[in-house]
Amino acid sequence: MDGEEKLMAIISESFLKGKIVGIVDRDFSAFTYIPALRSLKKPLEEGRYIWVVSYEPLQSLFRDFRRAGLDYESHLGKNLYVLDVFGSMRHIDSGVNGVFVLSGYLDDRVFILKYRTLIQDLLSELGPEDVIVVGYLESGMCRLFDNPIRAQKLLWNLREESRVKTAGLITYIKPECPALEEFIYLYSDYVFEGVVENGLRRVIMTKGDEE
Amino acid sequence: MTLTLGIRELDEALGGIVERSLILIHEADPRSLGKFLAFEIMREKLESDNLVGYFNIGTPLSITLSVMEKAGVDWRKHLQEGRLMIIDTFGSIYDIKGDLENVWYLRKPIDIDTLNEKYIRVIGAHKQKWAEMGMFKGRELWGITVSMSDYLSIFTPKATQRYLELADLQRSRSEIYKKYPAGTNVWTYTGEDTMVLPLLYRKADYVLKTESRIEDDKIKRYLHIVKAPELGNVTTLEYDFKGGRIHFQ
Repeated sequence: MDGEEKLMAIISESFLKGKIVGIVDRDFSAFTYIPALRSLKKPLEEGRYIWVVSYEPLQSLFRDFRRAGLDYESHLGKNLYVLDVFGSMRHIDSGVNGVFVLSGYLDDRVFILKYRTLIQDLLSELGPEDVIVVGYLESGMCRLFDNPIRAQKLLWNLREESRVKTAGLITYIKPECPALEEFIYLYSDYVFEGVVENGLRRVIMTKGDEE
Repeated sequence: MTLTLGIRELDEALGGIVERSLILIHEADPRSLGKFLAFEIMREKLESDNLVGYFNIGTPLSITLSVMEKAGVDWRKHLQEGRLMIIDTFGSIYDIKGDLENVWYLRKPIDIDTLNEKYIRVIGAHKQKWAEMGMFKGRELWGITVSMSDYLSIFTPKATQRYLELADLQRSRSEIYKKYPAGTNVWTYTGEDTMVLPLLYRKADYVLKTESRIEDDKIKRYLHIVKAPELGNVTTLEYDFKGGRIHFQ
């Protein structure tokens, strides 16, 4: 099994078992997060709830959804929801159904408080059995938060607080925000790194039982 | 007195640990997962009925506990049975407090200049509790801190430097270190820098540096014994990570 096949197999298994998979691209030409997003196709079609927390402009997320072959438009607002962190911090409301933007004054702490309230409301409205949480390019936190290390930990702490069975997929490009790598390695059950070396695109498992 | 870490290969390489010493686990890159070595020592010490004080610095406690559980630390049992006490610095600073028994919080306001006094007060209170319960007798006392480098992002590198420079003196003057037994400490530190890390390399009695490399598309992890009381050449051990645990080869 090559690295990418292994990645896809582990992600599918993790979605069922409620585990966290971290994708660490060692440079921004690796694009390992695109095949990783492709793994959302099956759970999306099966009607499982998917919660995407996006740290990049919304159109960047949608473009990557299309590249990954996801028919996101027919699922948004039904079983696919997006928290547009970029839009929230920059006060840009796209008005797209199923995409949430936190409004009003926001700093790192206030963001977490408002996000917590949003999750509580949404969970009590939808009452999902389980949720797949996707962090879309968490490296974007370095541009959006004053203290990205603290923000990342408090955001994932909401998963622990929610007490809903969640699987997680973290995507991240290391050179854009090196400080967040530590938490990804600590918290994820599995980590895969993507590199391009001598023209070869490779995916290597760097944390997990079959590494 | 010589103690063991409870990790055979490492104990053999070190020839035991001098009681009350400071062991620095320098996780040079996060992928090396050196923190899990601290959890491994913690698990071994608790399972063999010793006392552990865990200093939770930069991570929400519920996340720390979930990681510990994956590393095989039965924290619920050990908290309940009084072997384990936790000081939750992160929860104290950011007001995330639970009601677990034997988990302590520091009184606000918390800044780097008063932090050490607050630790001393809480450590003193818990040591008194251990003494009253007769827990010290026949048991080793260990302090585990994960992770010292978290202070850099909570405060600043400069403030962390000052904290380390002054903490020693404050502790040496404090009564609680004379009145009650003092522990053997394990501190973890992630990353490389030239501001705080050199102070820790000097202060520690043992420096265990962990690093990882990718060789032939496989991850390889190494532990270098950089410093020990008898300074010799650097010894390197190889280890891997399976089932949430570190295994030496």
